[in-house]
Amino acid sequence: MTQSSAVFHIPALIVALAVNLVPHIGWIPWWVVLGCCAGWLVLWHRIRTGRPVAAPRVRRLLTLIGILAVLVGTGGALDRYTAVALLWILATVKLMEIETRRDVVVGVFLAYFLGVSVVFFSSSLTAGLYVPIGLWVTTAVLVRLHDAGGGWRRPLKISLKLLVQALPVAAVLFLFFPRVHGGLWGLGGAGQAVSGFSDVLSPGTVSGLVPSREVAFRVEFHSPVPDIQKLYWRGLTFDIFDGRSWRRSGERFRMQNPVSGGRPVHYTIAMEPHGERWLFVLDLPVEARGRLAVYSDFTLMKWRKTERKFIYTVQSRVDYRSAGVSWRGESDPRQLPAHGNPRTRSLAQQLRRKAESPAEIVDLGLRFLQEGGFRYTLNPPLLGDDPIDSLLFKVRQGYCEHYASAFAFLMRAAGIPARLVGGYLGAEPNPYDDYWLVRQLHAHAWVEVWLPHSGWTRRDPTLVVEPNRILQGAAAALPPEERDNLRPWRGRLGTLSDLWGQVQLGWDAAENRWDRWILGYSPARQRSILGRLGLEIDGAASKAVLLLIAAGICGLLAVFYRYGFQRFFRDSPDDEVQRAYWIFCARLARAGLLRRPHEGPLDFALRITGERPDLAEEVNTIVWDYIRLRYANRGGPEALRLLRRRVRRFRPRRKRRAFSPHRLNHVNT
Amino acid sequence: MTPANAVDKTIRAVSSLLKRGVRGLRRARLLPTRYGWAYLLMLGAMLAGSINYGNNFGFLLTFLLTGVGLVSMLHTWRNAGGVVLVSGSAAPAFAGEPAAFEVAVRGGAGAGAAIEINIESDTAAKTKIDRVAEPHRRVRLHHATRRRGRMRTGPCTATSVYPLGLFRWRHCLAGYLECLVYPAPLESDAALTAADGDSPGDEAVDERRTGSDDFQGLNAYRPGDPLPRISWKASARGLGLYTKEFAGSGGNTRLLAWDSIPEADPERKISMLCGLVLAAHRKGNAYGLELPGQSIPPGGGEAHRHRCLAALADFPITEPS
Repeated sequence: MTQSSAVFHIPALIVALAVNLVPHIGWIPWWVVLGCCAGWLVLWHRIRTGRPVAAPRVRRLLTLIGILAVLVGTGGALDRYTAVALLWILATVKLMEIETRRDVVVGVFLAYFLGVSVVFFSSSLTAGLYVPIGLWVTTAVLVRLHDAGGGWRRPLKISLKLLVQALPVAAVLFLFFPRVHGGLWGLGGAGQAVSGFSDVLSPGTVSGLVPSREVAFRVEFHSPVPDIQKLYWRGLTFDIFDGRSWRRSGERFRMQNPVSGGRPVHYTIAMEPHGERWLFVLDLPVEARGRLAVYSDFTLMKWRKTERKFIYTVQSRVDYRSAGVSWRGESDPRQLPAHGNPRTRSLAQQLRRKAESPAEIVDLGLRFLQEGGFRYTLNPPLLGDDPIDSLLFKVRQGYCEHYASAFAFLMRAAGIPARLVGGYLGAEPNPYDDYWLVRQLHAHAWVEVWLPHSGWTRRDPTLVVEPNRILQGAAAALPPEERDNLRPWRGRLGTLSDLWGQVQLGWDAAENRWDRWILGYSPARQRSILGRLGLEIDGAASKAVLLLIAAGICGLLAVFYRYGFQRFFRDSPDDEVQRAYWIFCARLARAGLLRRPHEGPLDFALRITGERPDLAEEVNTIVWDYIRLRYANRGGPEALRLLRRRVRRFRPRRKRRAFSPHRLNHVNT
Repeated sequence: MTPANAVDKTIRAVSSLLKRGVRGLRRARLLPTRYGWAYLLMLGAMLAGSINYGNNFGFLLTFLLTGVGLVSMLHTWRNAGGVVLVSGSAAPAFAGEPAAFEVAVRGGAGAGAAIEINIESDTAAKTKIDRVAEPHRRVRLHHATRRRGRMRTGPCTATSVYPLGLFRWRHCLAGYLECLVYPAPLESDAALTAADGDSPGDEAVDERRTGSDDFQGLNAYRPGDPLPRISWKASARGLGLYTKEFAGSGGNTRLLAWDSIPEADPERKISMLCGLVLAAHRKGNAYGLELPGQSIPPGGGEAHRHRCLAALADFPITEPS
């Protein structure tokens, strides 16, 4: 291939690289993107004006500058960002030195590689839909390289056909290719931790989450969904109070005594990355497997921090008794700072004197909150030095964390073991699919008290203050002016914003499927799916068998593509004509009349007429039918059917020697 | 269709497919090109990355590209499969001039896009044809010739890497392409005079006295008679083809003899004889050829010229005895 014709493909390669660059924007340094685009524009312009592309010296200089810039710009860290940025620089310089067909192919392979390298950054559905477009254009460049026309239409069409036909192959390989290790979530999402709880709960922690509609996790129930007022998603407990905020003590053990209670609820949670070890579970978790552990405070912990999306399946009991679980050995759940909040302490002493049992103390405390004229608000006034006294006796306004904190303090002051629990309350069903969304705005804090007969028992002071919190969600329970502050656009856009909300839910449903089916395809899931197909996989041998099966299915697909459904079961008319003639010849051969290789149908018929006058009529009819169908292309399906019937009925018998015409002639002479 | 019938039919279809596939692979090989191997390497790298990071999205894209590669193999096969090189021949050429082979190509069931037909040798030019859809098509291939004799070329092949260039489909013409290569003509005055001196009609050197004026009569045309001597007048009258006979023709007959050429190198001698044959043919003279061991009686016309040149092309050089 001459230089000019290879150069002809550079603009095509630029287009392919540009399409593949789009999903990288935002991941690799912005100036790499700009540099590549600038390089391509200059290159394109020089090619259009017929100027030489770039001298070797210039190319070497550009490569050097590019590599140095990337290394300096990224601080020399050899991570995936640097690697991919370097690859982009090299691809751009490679474009400038294209001289032969080989260079074009190398450019195409680089474009493929860069297109696929998006997986290092993002595994979202958006990327899943976009990257194949890049592969499509890249493949079209490769087709165009071998296409005589040089246009775009045919290459794009063929490349689309290739990709569509490759989909079933990809699906088979994806399903059967043995997965080696578990928790297979892409690198995508790292560094994108969703804001949420931390291990300190101070006033404002939870209320700060309410304006966010970000998804914390998604839940799919495998058993009937519990009532909405029981959807308390437990994240972590706080048992140390310093007078202002609550912390977690490090002292906890794996749970020894399982929780008893009603039928367990079975569900799967897809947790968004939040950069912490704790996971959220429905109160109270019963059982967890794998690298998860339930601790004595009923929290579920992972071995490692959740840096990527993470799917786990747990069982919980929403009606439970945990009497068997004691707090002995942990930090004392009655601990309080030595000083502060004197009015609350004296209230606690009152309650203690009035009540006869710990349970009654708890009830009296709740009644105090119920009857005290408390208001539920996101923005309480500043609480001052004794925040709990101030809340309970002065401002009487607060959010769930304030009430929970105050109630836990009150209980501890009255001698009842109590602790704070942080998590989410409620969930939003997705109307387009069978799962529930838990968003940051569902964030909630509540209290657990330890009672001698029932063990740790949930008491939610917010419910007493504002019962709407559960049924209508946090936003609905707030005063109207605060509700409007949360979503200022809602009033103005009206129906349109509802529509947008529906679109978002639909997209979320699609993304959830993508996450569960594609990204969440783990060895365990593979085992269960293939198990349903009757394939057991354990050991290396069965993995080899899996690959063989995958190869076999791909082979069948190949046969199918090659011959198509029509031709697989039915030959083309031409072939049927030919086959009828072959059968005819085979029958004659069995009767001792072999067609010689050089004999066409007419010569053959002529010879048979001479040798076997008894067959002449039949043979001539068939041969002429055949000639008309095969060479004159006349007759159509009707004639074809007739020919086949005639051939089927044509059963020539081997002539007995005595009646051979040759022999008779011989006798006569 | 009864189930048994269907099973029978399916088995027959599959076995015939297998048979056809095996036969097809044996006859027309479909192999990865070096880009195909490079593509495989790229897929291997992607797969290793996906396994290493446990990245399912990476797996998906890798397998998608694997599928594209596999499907492209079938496309290559479907596009070119069935294209057959039927036969090829070339008119004789003089040594040093390119021989032009005409190869007949028959299209297959596919589109036959971007099929390259060439003779596998470094001296042959490549020809690329697109869409061998028509049942028959003739392709002209040029091949350089070096020395006289029967030239047998390298295998003549039809190849196609369409659409992705990852796989090459290759079909080889059964047998070889052969071409008769005449010696390179060498026209030298010495040879000319020598030959003329030896010829019986000494005065024939003079063009003006070639004897074409002494018209004797018409003879029925025989294939090989020189075209300038055909009586076009007679043919225009609808009498058929006649050749004009001239009294001088016999007198101008030359015998081009091996021994009469004053040249030691046998190859040069043959080249000179070739030049003489061509010159005599151009003039329309009758000429004969006398070589050691064989002689061709005087005659004229294309067939005679070919006979003489073929004799020269095939003439074996032995040690002078």
